Amino acid sequence: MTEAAPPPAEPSAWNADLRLPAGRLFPLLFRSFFLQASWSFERMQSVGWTAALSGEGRRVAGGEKAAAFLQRHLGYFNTNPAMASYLLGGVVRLEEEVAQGRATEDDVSRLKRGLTGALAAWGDTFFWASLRPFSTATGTLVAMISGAWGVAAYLLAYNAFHLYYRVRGISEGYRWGSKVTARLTRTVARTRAGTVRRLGLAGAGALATLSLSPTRRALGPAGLSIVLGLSAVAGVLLVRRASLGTWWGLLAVGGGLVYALATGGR
Amino acid sequence: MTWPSGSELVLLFLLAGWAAADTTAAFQIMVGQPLVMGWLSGCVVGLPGLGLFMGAALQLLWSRLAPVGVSAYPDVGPATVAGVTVASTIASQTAWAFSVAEPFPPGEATLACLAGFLVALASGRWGQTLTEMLRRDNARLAYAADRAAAAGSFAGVERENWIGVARSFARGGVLWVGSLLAFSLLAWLAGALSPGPPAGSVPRLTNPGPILFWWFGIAALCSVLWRGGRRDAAFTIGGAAAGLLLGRIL
Repeated sequence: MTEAAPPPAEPSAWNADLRLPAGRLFPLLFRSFFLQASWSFERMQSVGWTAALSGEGRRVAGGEKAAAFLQRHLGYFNTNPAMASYLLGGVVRLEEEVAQGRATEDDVSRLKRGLTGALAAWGDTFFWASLRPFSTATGTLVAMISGAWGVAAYLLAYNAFHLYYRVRGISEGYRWGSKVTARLTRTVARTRAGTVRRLGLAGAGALATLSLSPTRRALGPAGLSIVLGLSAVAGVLLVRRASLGTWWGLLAVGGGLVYALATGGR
Repeated sequence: MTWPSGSELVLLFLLAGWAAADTTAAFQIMVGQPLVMGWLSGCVVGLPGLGLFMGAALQLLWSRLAPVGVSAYPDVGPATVAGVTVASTIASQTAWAFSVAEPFPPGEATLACLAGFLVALASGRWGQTLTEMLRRDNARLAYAADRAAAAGSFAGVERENWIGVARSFARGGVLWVGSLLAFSLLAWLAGALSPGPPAGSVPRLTNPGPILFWWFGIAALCSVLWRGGRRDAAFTIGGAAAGLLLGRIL
């Protein structure tokens, strides 16, 4: 009687003691900043993603396994670059387990397939639709009040979250492995995007009221009314079509140039 | 027209390249955004106040645009550097600085701003086309990476990615140089190379162009943040009230 083969081991889940040493975390972090370096319509971030993993790849899949490792990761890949850190950490953990025979290459592909879309959706909603406009409102407001400090405020407001997610994502992804999705649902990017966006609205409101008096001083009450009316129309139309921004800018420049011509080149 | 010195032009070229690389290819820490690039370019040409105002206005106007997925977007960083460079050729000296009391540029700086905005907007659109061309061509990097992968070369794949960074940097530089050349040609055609009025003879004006541009920027920012509902309204009104209070204090 032959003994039945043992079932294949499940990829291991969360392990609080598992930490990526600084000597591996920081090179991985540095490489992750170039995820979109060779972005192409055909394969999007695939080359950047593989290059980001190549340091760890040399460690876990050197020699004869290198070609298979690289080809496995060079397929189509696209997600939010900041949130990709979670996937990067998770994949590094799984690749270690693949090398140890505790997980399969399919587990790696499954994690990538399952997470790229979700990370892109959460990341784009938080970073592009909430955090960057919030940072714009903050930076512009501070610039108006105290000059160049606005630039520092803008960079700080954005990068405090951006760099946090870059670093935290890799270490959390590594710790949670294939179960990193569960961790992601509790992140600020997932749960507080609305609050950050509304704080940006408050900043935009403050910016508008601070600009009222100078506009009235420069153009008079009638001019102020016209400017506010046109801006309201611009705002409503821009909600529907973002690409119109440049055209509204050209309208303002054109208006200014016509005024200058009419008043003798002023 | 007074052009920046040779060393300033080199620095501006490097800034344009850095801005283009930061947009997507390297780091994405937002130093390539108009607010930062406007101020940095202004510092290089000795007009930090003008650069900061132009950067802030362009940042607001372009706040809806983001480098997400396959979306096409104006190349805002190098375009801002080009805009500030052009503005500095017209208003080479101005005592005005962007502030709550006087947020809109006066006199000579007004026309400089308008010309700078025009160049930045046109340059941004041209940069969008350049970016699309480069992204289409980047497929060659992916094929080269495929060959390196088949040979099991980690270094080969990494090299293709570094080439991608260099190409993005070059894109910014090319965009900046092209924008300046186009502006010079247009200025020459328009006879703008003839000497302007002596400095200080231009009266303080209230040209509505930069003011309108600023307000359209605020409208663009609101349009990206606004989703409707009571909470959005409460935050906006609260911010507006805080702004009024701040205006009185300052």
